[in-house]
Amino acid sequence: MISLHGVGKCFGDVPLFENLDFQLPAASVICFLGPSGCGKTTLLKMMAGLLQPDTGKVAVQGRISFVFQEARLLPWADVRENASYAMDPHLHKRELRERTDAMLDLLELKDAATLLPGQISGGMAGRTALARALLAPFDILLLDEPLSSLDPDLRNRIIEFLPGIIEGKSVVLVSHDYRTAAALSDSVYLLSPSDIVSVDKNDIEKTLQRIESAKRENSASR
Amino acid sequence: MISTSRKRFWLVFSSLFGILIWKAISLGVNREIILPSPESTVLYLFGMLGDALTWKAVGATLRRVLLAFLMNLIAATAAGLASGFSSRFYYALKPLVTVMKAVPTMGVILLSLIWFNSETAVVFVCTLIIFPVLYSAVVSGIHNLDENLLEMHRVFHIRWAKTLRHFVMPSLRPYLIAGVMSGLGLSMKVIIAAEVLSQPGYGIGTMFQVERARLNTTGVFAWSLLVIFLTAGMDILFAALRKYYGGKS
Repeated sequence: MISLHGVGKCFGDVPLFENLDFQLPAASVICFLGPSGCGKTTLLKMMAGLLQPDTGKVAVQGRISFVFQEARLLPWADVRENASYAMDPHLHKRELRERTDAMLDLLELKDAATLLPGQISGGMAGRTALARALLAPFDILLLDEPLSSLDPDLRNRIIEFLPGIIEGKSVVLVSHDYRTAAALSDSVYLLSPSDIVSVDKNDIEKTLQRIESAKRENSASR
Repeated sequence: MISTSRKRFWLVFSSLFGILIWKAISLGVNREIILPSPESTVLYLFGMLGDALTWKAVGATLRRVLLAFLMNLIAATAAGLASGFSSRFYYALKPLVTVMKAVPTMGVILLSLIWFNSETAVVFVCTLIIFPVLYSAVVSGIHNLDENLLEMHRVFHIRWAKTLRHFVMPSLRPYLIAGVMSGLGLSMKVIIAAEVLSQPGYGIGTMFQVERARLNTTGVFAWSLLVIFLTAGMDILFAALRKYYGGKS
């Protein structure tokens, strides 16, 4: 699993996090909520080992799968090849194919299976990236604003079937959209530079409003 | 973009214009030994084509060009990959590559004639010229790899061999194509220049030297014309291969 011990990270001279402690609960879906620029992506990348913290330690146990904010597909590989790209190389060819096709079906990508990333829409590219992440062998799934580019219908369907795929695994979701957060996750956390605050899932709206107005007062009094 | 017929028109127009100027100057000079006319050059070229020696020379030179070029393409790709991913390797190779780039061609040809037999000397000289070109192309291709995709490979722990085959090599494609395009023509020139001085048994460069020694300027012109056609032929062949093996880029 993932645990953060006294993690600090600066960008240039600007401290993003200071002395952050956090323990990822096993087999649950959690969401980090925060405005853009608060370091959500940085936090995810540190968890994935793509970024090193300046101070402190990030300990990870288990295989990680990642949905980036951008699709990050290979431009010369078609949708099917991209979706199956990170799958376990030991899988039998037929099983690999069957699982891929099932996933493409689920994400409404079947008709686009042989198209190249340059020939599909941004939303389809995002879904292909989601398919790749879900097909990869993983214990921990990290998602960076994964559903923001989807149309509402499909988003709702994904929210329906996702729990079946990620059952028993840990999922960390990062979002600025508290509705997605509330619909998908077991627990929601607010991200601030030195703290990760647990928020009541059913009370996110009020909490956010409270923070918002506090901020406004703060800047007004300055 | 202009239409194909327009392209053809301008190609033919500029070629004819060039030949016309050539003809005009040759009329002005009026001495075949200084500047042969286009028609006598072409006539001489046709005569050459009936000579078995011509084909032996062309075959020997093309063989050297392909051998030297392919060897260097493989070596430069391997070294370029190593340097692109390891800055230790990059800096270790840097002095060698800099020397190869800076060393004067004629000096190397003369030295390699002292050191090697004419066959080896030709390929060696070509290596010195062509390796840095191809190597730099590969290194800059790797330095320009998509950071986001690299990160994607890291996070999913994609194996080294798969990364190379499905990500690195396709990314290098345009750089390699550019390298091959400029490199093949350059190899041809360098090999012929080396042949002129090293005089292997058969070779286009050897024939240049023979014609020059006989003060046969028309022959030198005809051989030049043949080399131009050969290089153009290689370009066309390569373009066709590229088309056949898929893709636009």
